[in-house]
Amino acid sequence: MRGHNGHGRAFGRRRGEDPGTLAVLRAGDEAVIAGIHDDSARAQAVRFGMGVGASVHCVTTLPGGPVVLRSGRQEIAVGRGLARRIRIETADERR
Amino acid sequence: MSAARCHGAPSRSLPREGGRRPSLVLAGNPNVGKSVFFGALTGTYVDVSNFPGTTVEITRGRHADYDIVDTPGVYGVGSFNDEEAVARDVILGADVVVNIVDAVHPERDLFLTLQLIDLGLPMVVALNMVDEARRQGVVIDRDLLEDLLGVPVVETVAVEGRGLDELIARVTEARPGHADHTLESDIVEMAVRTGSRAEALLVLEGDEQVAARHDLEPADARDVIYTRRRTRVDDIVGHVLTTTDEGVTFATRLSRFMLRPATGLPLLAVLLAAVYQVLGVWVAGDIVGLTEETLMQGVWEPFVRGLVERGFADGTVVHTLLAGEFGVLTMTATYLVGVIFPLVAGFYLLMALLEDSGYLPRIAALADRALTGMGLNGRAIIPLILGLGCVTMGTLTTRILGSKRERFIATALMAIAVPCSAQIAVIAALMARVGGWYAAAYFGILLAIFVAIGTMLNRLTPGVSTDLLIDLPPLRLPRIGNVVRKSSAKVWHFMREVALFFLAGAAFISVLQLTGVLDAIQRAAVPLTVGWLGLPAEAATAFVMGFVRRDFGAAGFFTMGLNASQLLVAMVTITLFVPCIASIMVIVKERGWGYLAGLLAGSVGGAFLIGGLLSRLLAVI
Repeated sequence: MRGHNGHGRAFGRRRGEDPGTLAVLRAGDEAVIAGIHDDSARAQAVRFGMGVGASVHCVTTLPGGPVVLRSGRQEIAVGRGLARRIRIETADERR
Repeated sequence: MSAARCHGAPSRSLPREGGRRPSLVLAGNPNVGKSVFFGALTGTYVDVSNFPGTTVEITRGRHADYDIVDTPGVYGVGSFNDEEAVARDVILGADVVVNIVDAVHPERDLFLTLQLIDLGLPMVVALNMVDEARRQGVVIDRDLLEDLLGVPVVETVAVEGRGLDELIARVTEARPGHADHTLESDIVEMAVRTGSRAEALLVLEGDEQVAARHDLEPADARDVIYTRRRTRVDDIVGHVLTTTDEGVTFATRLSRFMLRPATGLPLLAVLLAAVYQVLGVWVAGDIVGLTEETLMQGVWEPFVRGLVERGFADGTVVHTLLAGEFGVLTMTATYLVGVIFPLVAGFYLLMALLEDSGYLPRIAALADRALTGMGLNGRAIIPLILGLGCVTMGTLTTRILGSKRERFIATALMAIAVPCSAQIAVIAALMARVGGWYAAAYFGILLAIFVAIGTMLNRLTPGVSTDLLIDLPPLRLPRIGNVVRKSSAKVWHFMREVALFFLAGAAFISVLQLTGVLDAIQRAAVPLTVGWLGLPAEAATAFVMGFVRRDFGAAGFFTMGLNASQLLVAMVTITLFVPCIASIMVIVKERGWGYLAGLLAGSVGGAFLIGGLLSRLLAVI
């Protein structure tokens, strides 16, 4: 599953990362949360307005570390391990 | 006002069972200023913190006819961590909930608000920091919000005391708001079994602890309920919120700058260097030089010794206790006032600046990758940094961590390899004599041990650690009044505790000295202190003192005339040595006796092992 962000770069280029997860996002990418495979993280994400169905913008990523997301005016940092358990759809796939 | 739609009639007078004052429970997300409300309402200042999780203890106070109860900051009511469970139970027992909402961040905060409304609790909303919100171009229609929520909404600026009188005045109008009507039938059905509406909702939301109290299986409706609630929050926010400034602000750019490793790590390094310059050079060197040597040793000690000697000759029991080598009026007073106070004050002032600015969660994101190697996630940086202030406080703050495994590892790391500010104070003052390289070596060795212990515990500890999921609140300029109040309260609290242990410890050591026990211990420990660690025989005294407090133990090395490498060995050994009595008590309470026994064996054994090896290594170099 490969999509494109606004800059024309392909998703899923990060070596070793499952292409359909948050872990592939890079700064500037947009995506929609499709599934969170962690009970407490799923609840916490809804509290922050980033539950399943929410559109998120990737603010930045730290190499091997967290993915920083923004939705509306809310920002959160998601650890890499959790990012791998959060499935996403890219904006293209939903059109 | 649409009172007809309310689930309970507005209560004109609050419940008052058997003369008990009604309780107002302050609830809100982390960072919204709950503790400032508490302080302003009760007049007694308590620990205020800007960071998720630092208001750990429940504090109670009184305002007019109300009992005011503070709770830990939470994003929702549930049992995802210990703090949430504590907050939940306090909130469930409230007569009125005062929900504090950050006007800058309604999208996040109103989720808790709607949950509290769904719980059916009588409440009032304080829309706080409206001034800051306006500065950021965020305007909230208070009247409309009040109508949509169905509970009184009062605009406040708690740090300036604005809106507090109105808030208290409207507590009498507190009532349950407009709950999610689709939940009603399920809640009513479940309430038959739980006995209360609020607990019924929590069981429906899958709260295992609440379900267990009623011998029920937690339901699995959480995702549905949460998603509906989120939709309602977004809907309300869409109606009441107007933002005039959509552009990228300086704070947003600075936040990016702090998070990107290429710029964030150098910034962190610069910050640490600045902290070292302020605390290690100016405070520990210049200010402590003045307070310790000039003021305390130059003026105070001769003066008080003269006073004591008018009544008791040198060598008598009273003279030794009051003005001897470990005298409570001489040595103890000098360390407390001359050494520890300036450094602890400096540390907490800098910490408060960090907390108030919102920089800490960004550090947590930066540190996440390194900490996952130790079985922790970035969030653990908060108790660890607080541990640098006071290991006891750091240990209490491990409650914000998501699993037992993480609390286990973080507690051990702090108890063994994190020196507290008082200890750093004494060590910095000692290290200032031998130069920066030895100080660097000391911190380098501790860091290596820290990483080694963390990596080892990650391998050995069973279970799974949780991943980082942390809110990055907007950066803001620290409010100086807030910073000063916050840090002075902590310094006062800390110094009071330290003083008690120092005084008791000094008296205890003097008794050992008078009875000859100290000599016996010193002679018995010669193979260890002199033979293995390469220190003078008196070093045994410092280790005995170290059982009272590690900083007290470090202070014991002050007058021994150690050379530079002996000093390094002594400082590393005493740092790794047992944690102070106060933190031991907290560790037993939080982790149990078995944990403590393992920890003590590990830290004493490890301290002497590493100290001795270091001594050999330095001899070779």
